[in-house]
Amino acid sequence: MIPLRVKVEANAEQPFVVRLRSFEANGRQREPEQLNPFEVSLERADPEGADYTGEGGPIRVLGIDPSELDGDVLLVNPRRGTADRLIRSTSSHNTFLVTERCDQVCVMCSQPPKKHHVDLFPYFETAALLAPEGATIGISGGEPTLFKEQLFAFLKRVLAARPDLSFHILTNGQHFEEDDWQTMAGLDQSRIVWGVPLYSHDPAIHDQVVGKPGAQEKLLENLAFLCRVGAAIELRTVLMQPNAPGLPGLARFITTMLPFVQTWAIMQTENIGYGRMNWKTLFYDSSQGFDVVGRAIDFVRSRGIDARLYNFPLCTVPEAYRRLAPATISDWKRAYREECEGCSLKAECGGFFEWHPRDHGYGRLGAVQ
Amino acid sequence: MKVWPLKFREMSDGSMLFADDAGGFFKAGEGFLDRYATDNLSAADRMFLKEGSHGFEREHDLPWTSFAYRWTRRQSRPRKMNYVILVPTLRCNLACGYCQVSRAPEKARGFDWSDETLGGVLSFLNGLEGPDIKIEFQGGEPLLRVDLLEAVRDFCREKFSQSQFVVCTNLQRLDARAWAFLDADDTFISTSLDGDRQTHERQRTHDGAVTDAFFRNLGAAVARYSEGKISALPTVDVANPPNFDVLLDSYERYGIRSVYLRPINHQGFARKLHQGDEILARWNRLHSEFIDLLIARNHRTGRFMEEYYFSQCLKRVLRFDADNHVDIRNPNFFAADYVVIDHDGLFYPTDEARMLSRIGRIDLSIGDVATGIDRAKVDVLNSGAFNHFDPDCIHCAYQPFCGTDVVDDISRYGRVDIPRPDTWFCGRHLALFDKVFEVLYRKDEPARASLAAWLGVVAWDDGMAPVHS
Amino acid sequence: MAELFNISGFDFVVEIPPQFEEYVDSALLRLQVAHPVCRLSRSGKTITVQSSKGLSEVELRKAILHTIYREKIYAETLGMRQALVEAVTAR
Repeated sequence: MIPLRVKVEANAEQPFVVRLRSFEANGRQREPEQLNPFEVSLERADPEGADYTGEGGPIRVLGIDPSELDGDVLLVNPRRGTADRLIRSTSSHNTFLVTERCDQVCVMCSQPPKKHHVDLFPYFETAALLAPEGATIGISGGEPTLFKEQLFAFLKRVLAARPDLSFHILTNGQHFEEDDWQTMAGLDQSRIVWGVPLYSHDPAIHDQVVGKPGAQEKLLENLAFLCRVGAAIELRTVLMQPNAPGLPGLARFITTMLPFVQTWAIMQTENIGYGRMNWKTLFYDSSQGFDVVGRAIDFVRSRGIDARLYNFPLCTVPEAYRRLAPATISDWKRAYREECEGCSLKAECGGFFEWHPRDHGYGRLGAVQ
Repeated sequence: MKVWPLKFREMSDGSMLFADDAGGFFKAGEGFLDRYATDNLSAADRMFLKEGSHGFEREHDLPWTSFAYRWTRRQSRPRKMNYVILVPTLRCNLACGYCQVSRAPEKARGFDWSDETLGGVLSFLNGLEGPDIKIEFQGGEPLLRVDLLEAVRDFCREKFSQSQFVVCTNLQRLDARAWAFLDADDTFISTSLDGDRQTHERQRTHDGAVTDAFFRNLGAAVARYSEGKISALPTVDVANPPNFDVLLDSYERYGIRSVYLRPINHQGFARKLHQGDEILARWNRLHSEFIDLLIARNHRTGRFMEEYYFSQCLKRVLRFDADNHVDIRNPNFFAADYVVIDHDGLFYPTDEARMLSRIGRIDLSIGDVATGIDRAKVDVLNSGAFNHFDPDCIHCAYQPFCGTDVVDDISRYGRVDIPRPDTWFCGRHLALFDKVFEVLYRKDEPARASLAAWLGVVAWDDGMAPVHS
Repeated sequence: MAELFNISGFDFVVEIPPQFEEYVDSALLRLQVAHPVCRLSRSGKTITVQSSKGLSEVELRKAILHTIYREKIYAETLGMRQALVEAVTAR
């Protein structure tokens, strides 16, 4: 698994953002003027660690080959002796965890909420401005819109300063209001995708999944708001035993009530966090019961609405639907299994979640010839 | 709950088809119609209408928003000019029976672009924003002037980051230069293949050797290029149609799965109205039979072919974003995203308008490459380019899926305000959409299989066509 | 709801229920265009059909009913259509 956190030594008091550069690898001489105030460049590396100097440092990174970190943007916590890799320059899966607080308690949550909150927005802003050209940055939590004003301000400033960047923001959609109209309409919505979960057209089932009565009603109101404000919506439905039978019904609901979504993403569950706790009652084995999924997908697609399968290994998806299953599992939590040996689809397949269980997982999987 | 206005039409099985302005449709009985019209909706009626997003409680609530969105998406917005039909020469090396009005003999003079005209065309193209362009070469026979095609293509490839070219050719004579021109990956071929060899010869080539040459070249082209490079369409004489099975075999043999069935279009006011009606009825029947045959054939062979225009209409019913075909979209504004430039440098709003003007009855030209597009004239034509508030269309269940054809109305009736039900366009499209809904509600395996293939989904099930009992 | 009885041959009379009365005139106009060979006239709360050539009673009854329905639906929902167009074209 790719580490998102590394050990560091730094002599500062407060946390700080820094971008790592390595010029020797490219055979270039380091010019002091080439670095910006947040950058450090690699001076020396030995088997234990690597030393970087510059206006942003100095900092010593331990236990990882510096070539893997070239171009990365780190949030360094000197007191703890760790740094989080906020942006990995060679990855397309960079997400800022804005908060661990959440006002919902989803039964399969991979990132169970915590009460503690630290405001990292200033660091995120600095880091975003240091992102590689054309990057898409994920915004996640907890629930990011619990800090709506700061989020909007962050988006406004970063989108203006970096016209090449775009965002993918996960939100439960509970906290938008008509008063947000001006702000939202003022953002360049063409560079933001809002990933919003809806688990069922039946409010009872949705509310039960998210652990909040009245959630679906509020969500539907806000989806209408997002449509009117011109937001691009990626509607996300995690496929589980409680909502699998209702999937075709949800498909019909999307065609009549939510035709404005950019994509409907049906997603497989992650065996981590609450998902792991509740696995046996949640996991829906789509490798043996794909029918409801197929019908749901066909329904919305017959109306011209895009539908995708996220986090489905290709061997668990019938051939006719495989082209709708992009490789979506973030690189840092993706793994292939021994059954994948010799599979002709390996290059296009996103594999399994690192933590997909040996037992009680897919009944049908394995190399496709 | 406020219910959006429902339009209704009786289907062949006696049930009623209902549709709202955003294209939401369902089938129901006459009982529902009576209850709806007399303000006597039952609780079950209301529930059904609510779930189908045919009504709303408050402006801006989700059902209202969904309806407004779907309605808005169905409107075809004028886009940047990115599709230009060019007629570099009217001369042709064939004399197809149904084309007499638009061609000039191969050896004639004065029917090609002059140097000034070529300059004007390039200047016009240079003024386009881009970044993409599609050029369709028509004629006459465009390959008689490969030099002009090359000049245009070279210019476009230089100026635009994405360009595509279609050569509408009869494939009768291809020298090395013509093949070289067609070989390019950004260049596609559109030709005529009128069904079986007999029909093709009777209508187009008239002579065995000429017919042989065509089929030889077609075969060579199919062998040389990958699937998708060549498209073809059959022109059908309603009075003497080809054997449709043989036509489909023919097309399939040449790797062409999409067949755009078109009737011979007799231009001019010489057509009498009642003669028009009779031909219309016969054409509608022929087309309906073709679709039935196609569905059965697809199911039998497991290899799916489509009738292009039927598929377009099917998509226009189910989807709110199907307005990429210039012959059917609503509003259908002229000289917005596409225009025709004739052999003499004149602009026309459509190819039919060009042909109509050529026979001299009415001048539908809208400017020329030297002086530009005449927007005032375009505006006049555009005043009839949408159906939303037409006194007949507004009541029609097919209105959200249908469109208008100002040029066809002018060509047949000399005016654009004939009551819709009396026009060829309306008669044609009523029959087409009747057929679309008939197939959508057919509920048998062959229909389901073809629907899935035509819509690009894996499977169609009967539940995808709503019914209110 | 609409009563039909033969007066002579194909002629018959259609009674108009009160809630449809205001829509009959415009419906009749449309019906005349659609069925020029039929003679339709209104007198108070009834429509008299004389010479329904070419169409059966049932067909013409349906045509009349449906046309009246359409006029009513159109008139009663015109405001909704206007409001929709205003809402989606507003700046």
